[in-house]
Amino acid sequence: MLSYIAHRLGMIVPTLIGVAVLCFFMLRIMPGDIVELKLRGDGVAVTEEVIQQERARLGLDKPLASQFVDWMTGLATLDLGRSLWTDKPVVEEIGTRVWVSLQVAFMATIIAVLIAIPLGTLSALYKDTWIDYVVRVVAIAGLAVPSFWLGMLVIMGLLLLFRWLPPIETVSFFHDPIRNLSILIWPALAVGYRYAAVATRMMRSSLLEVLKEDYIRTARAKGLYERLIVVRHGLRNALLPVITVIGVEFAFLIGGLVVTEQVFNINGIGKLFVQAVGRGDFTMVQGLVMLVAVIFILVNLAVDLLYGVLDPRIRSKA
Amino acid sequence: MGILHRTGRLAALATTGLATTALTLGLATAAGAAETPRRGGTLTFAVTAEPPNYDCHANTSFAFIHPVAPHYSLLLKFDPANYPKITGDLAESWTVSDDGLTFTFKLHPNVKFHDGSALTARDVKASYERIINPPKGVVSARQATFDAVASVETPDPQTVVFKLKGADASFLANLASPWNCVYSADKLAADPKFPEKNVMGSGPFKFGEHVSGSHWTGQRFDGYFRQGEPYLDGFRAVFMSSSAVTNALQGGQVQAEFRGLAPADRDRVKNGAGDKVQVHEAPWLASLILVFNAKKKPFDDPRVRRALSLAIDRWQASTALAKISILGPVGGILRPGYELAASEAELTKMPGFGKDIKAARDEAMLLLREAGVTGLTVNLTNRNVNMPYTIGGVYVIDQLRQIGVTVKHEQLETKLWQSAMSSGNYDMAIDFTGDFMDDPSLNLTKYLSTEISPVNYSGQADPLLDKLYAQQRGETDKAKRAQLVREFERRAMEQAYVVPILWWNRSVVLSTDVKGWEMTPSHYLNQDLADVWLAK
Amino acid sequence: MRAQSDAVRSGAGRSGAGQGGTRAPTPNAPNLDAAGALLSVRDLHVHFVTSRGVVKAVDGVSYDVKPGEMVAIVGESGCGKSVTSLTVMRLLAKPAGRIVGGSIQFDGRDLVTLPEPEMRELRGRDVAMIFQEPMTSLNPVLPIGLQIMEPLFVHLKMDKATARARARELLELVGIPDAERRLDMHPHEFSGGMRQRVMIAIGLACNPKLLIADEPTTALDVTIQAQILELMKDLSSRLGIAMVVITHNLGIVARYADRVNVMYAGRIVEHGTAEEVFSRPRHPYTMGLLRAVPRLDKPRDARLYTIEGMPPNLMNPPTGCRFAERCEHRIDACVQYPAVVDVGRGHTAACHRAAEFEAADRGHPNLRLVRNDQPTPRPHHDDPILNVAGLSKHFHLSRRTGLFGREKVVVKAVDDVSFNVQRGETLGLVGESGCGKTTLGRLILRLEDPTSGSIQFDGRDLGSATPSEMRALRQKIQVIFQDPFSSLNPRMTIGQIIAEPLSVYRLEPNARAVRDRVAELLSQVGLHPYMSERYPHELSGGQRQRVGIARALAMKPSLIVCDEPVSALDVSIQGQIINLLEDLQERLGLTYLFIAHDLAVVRHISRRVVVMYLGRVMEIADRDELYAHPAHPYTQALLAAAPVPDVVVERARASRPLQGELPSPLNPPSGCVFRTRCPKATKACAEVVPPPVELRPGHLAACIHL
Repeated sequence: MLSYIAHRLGMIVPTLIGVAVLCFFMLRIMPGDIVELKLRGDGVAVTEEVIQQERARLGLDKPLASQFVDWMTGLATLDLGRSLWTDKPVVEEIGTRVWVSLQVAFMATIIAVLIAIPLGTLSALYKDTWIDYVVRVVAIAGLAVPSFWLGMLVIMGLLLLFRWLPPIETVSFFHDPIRNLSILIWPALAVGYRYAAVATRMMRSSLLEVLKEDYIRTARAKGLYERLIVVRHGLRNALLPVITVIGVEFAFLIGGLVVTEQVFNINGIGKLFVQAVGRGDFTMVQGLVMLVAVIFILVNLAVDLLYGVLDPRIRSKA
Repeated sequence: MGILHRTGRLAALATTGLATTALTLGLATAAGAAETPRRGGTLTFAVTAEPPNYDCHANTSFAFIHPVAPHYSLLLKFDPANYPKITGDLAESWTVSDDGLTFTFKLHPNVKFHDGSALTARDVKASYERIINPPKGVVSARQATFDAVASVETPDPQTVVFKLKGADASFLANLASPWNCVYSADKLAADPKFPEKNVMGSGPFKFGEHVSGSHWTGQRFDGYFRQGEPYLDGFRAVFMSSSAVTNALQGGQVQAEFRGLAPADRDRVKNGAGDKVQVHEAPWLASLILVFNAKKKPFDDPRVRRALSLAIDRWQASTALAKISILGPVGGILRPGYELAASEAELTKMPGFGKDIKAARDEAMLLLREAGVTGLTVNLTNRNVNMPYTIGGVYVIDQLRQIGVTVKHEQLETKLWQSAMSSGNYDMAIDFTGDFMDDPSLNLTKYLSTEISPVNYSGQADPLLDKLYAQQRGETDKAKRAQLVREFERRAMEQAYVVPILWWNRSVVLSTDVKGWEMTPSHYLNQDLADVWLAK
Repeated sequence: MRAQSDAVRSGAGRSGAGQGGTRAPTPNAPNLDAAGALLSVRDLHVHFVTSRGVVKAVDGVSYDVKPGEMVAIVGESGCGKSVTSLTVMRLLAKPAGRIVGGSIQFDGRDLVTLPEPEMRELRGRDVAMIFQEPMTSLNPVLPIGLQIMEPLFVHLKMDKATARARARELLELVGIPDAERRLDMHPHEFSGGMRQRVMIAIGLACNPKLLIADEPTTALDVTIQAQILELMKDLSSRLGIAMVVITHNLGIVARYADRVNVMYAGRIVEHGTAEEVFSRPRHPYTMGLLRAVPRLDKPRDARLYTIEGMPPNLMNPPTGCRFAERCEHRIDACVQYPAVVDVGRGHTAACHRAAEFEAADRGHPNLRLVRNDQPTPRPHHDDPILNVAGLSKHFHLSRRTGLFGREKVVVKAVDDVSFNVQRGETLGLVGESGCGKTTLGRLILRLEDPTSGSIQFDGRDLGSATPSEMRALRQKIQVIFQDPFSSLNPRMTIGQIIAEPLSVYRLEPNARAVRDRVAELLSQVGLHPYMSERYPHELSGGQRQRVGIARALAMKPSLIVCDEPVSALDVSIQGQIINLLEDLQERLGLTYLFIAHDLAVVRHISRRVVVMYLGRVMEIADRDELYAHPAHPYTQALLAAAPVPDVVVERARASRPLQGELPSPLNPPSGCVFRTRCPKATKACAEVVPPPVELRPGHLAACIHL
């Protein structure tokens, strides 16, 4: 197991180098100039000399190869450079925002797990009864409703029904947990619903599959209580594919927060991502891509490790 | 219903060329003056974008002005209640020499920076020299507007003298620019880039904090040189996406958004919040324009460009689009209602502004035939922002269809749209103009040869227009200047490198608690918040 | 089901509940019924309600099990034998499966009406069950120990330490060494045979009175099967546990069962002691079954006896005798369902003519099949169509060792194998799972590239053939797979499936010719041409295998690799396919490489036989020579382990199953690969890989003791 983790961790470096190279060149292919946008974006007649000066200041006039070398050497020293827009270190800009996004993502995951496992289990156990139908309708609705739209509905609903809106500025959970949660719970719910829907469906079908397995029949033949059969013999096996789904969805969630953060005005990396892409802030986009890549890899590793914990077959293979 | 009626009336007023600005503003001022300002409270307002850095001289976006303006004093400013009248900010009084080449300003005594140091003529000189002749590594976005300045002198600590090389009709107005923040000469001497990362001015509010992506705060500067001001304890600018603003206004989380809302959002907030909000409306110092790529066939032929401009029924557009968008008044190259703008009578004589659209379209088709252009199919490069770009673009396409021109709508993300235009990689494009004041020297830049004015993306080269521009800038006699501007406008509309589509309407929604704020045609002006107070 | 048990709860079930209350961990003397039966099933009816209709899976079944005896239920797939036993456990699939009538008296209580909570208490404690698939019947994520201890916790309320001690004891009882350590291991660390031992341990955990084993050895190799059955038989007699064994393997029944119930189409058609049923079958179905099985203990017939036709659809079964349609002895009376006829000696049969058969006994002319004990002469000339020399296939795997270590391991799936196949003959290739027989087939089909050695087909070396030559050669070598269902694309019609290679290789000029050829092929394999419009799922297993054969024949091959072509089929169908293969061989001059694990089938069809073990050839000989005088200890063990459907023969045989398990191919024994299980193994066996020794012309065996 240890060697497995070591091996996986070792794979992170080459993967990230690949991501770094790819994203550097792919961004440079995109047309558009951050300097023009920055200075002429509001229609002001800024002269060409000024534009050139700013370009030079940001180092955008250097040849591509030298920019690439700067980027890669920067990476080697864990320096993601400075934002072309704000001139602040990319790490700092991301650092102030990433925790909020991660918190929303984790809360959404917790919500999804808390909803999906019981609902999926109920749905499977009461297959083709009204309970199952209700759960399935709820789950399908979750897949059909885009989270940003649900987010907008949530906001409108709060506004119209309670004449209340969550505070607009996020604070740290450790600073003021109640205020923090009163803000972040809504985007977490909006995103978590879809997430839960995916996981619920997986939980249901997975448990249904597992309940058809021979070892469930064996457990019944042993005279075990139904509850014990479902919990000990059913759930643990059924959870394996659900964990994969949760892991994959978590990684996508970070990407999916882009729109939801806009709707709820959450100052997270999703919003930053949109802004950075819109502005052509290469260094910022590069930094964010690296971050998402790292999260993606770590989540996948976590999923694999969890698999190992739950499934002895994987454990011994590794 | 009431809103629609009101908008309709406003649009109608604008089209008749009356000074609706003054009218609306006058009413608002009368109401505001009736009450005694209350001290205290924090104003929370939304800003839909965020400034990249803190240097007034280098920035161009309203997203900068709204949070930063309260921290700085200017030499002059526009009188918010009587725009475009200019009034003093740091300057207590000023005189202009008869030849119009020497401007002498007396500063308010006892002006202090937030760090307690005194603000003197030296600081004004240092700040303007930084704008006029920026040191290496400093961006001065409006350097060109001060190219007439020969020197800035400080005969005594309370006096600043600007000497010009030649007459500049816009000079005084340019000194009232909200971008020309006065910095501390000492700080600049130590580091010319000091303002990029620090906010240290003499304005009504001290810098509190800026949390990237989240908010910006300011606290009352007790040493502000105008006694009793500001009224507010502080302000809080919250950065949010425009989609979140409407909800936040309706939910009372922010008390204002100063740029302006689209009619639909304005109505939603008004319907949702009822009498908790006030709506201010005025023609906006911004217009949607159509740019032809004069370097590309068939737009190298003025007949073709003019034909396409002729096909657009601006008068009908005005009534139709004002209901659904921020587009509204018909105007030439200057904002209708501005003293130097064309009157309706003058306007209707220009190509593309006649009221007989059938005649105009017949003429357009004749022109196309003459030019040997048939079955024209072109791309319209547009910005993928619904309000008002898409709406305007769709309208234009429909109009051109009626003279047999097929247009493909190519809607690009802002950055790509900008890049398509500046690289000349387009047939025709929707662009916009807008600045902090109506002065022709600023507002005509979109119509000058690309060589001297890179923001004209048509690639045009028209020495006559450039000459007329230079002449009007040097003409201090208002009547003569107006004549030159008219001549410029006629030539520009005939050549039609760039033509106006419609001007915009500005609707600002505030909480009824917000008092003392004056509506102006520009969302860059009057944002120092010194006069603003909260009823509760 | 639910409604029924509710009704029961308010009525008769009460008394049962009173009786069943709490019981001491050690069972009391069993509560037998009047006839002295522990389990007494009477007139049981079970229906499955499906969307297409009601399947009457069990239709009036009655049988008894007395304490300590082993009762077999025999029948082909779909006859209801498994459903009968699941019904006893009340483990029918919900909500489709329903008991609609009858009673199941067990230990003084009626299990049909017993409330579910009491039924649950009974399961695993008084009645235990072992299932067919040891690979999937254990929960993969839980340790073996916990899975054995579960019934101890639930039924006997043992504490952890006691339960663990008991679990260890049970593992030792079922013959798993190193029990203490094994308790914490997971199922995937056990072989199939070991897992089935664990299943038995679970079954025995609470000292049940009855153990039901549903096809307990079907998924296992013949040598392991013998070990497991010996173990069960031994435990049954030592612990006095009554057993119900459900199987389709008549050999097993003959060897181990005390009494036999033969089921057909949801009913028991014959019942009696094993000796009675095997030596004096009184139902035509039983007679047919016994004759259809290829026998190891009797001279081979030219053709296998087959029971033509298919079992009836249980959704709409015939009102009369359900076997009548396929019966050679059918008379007019068969339109009425026959009563059960007692022919004496506790032997009953549900046949109108049972008494007649009894009276005629062995003299009845229709009962005797005219046997052709002389094998048909076959061409025997030295004209090898396929020549395999020194063929090896090694798979290189990497295995992790320690924290950062990796080691390369080589699995020698096929190791230095040489043999030839003569034109027009059938070469049988036998061995247990993991012996490399399938890999060998794939090598010949060139689905794998050999590591070394040569394969010559029709005088050309497959290894050096150019791509275009290979294209031509591929047509000449075809394959028939084991699983006729998964090897046919479910989204294509039978016609499309057979036509596919014809169009790919452009063997026919146009679509019409293709259609005609498909029709011709279908009739060649005994199917109706109109079946070309059908989809695979609409066909029975036997018909699907015929389609597989037709597809192979489409290419006009000269060699067909048959990879376990009949092992998934029922006995009666198996005979039909084997006969078909033989007919086709005769008509079309085909050559077969027949890969199988069933010694009797291989014996029947092959002219020569190759025996493989762990990638190596153990013995090659002519069929009669091999079965009459097996030389290699492994061949001997294989033959000894395979039970034959004859009570007299089986009871007379000493039971000496081959001990141990197949070694891991990752770490094969040095020298002779068989030495770890070989009764004759000596030190020398570990030192040298035994070369093949030619004992007699054409008879080679790789053993240094010969």
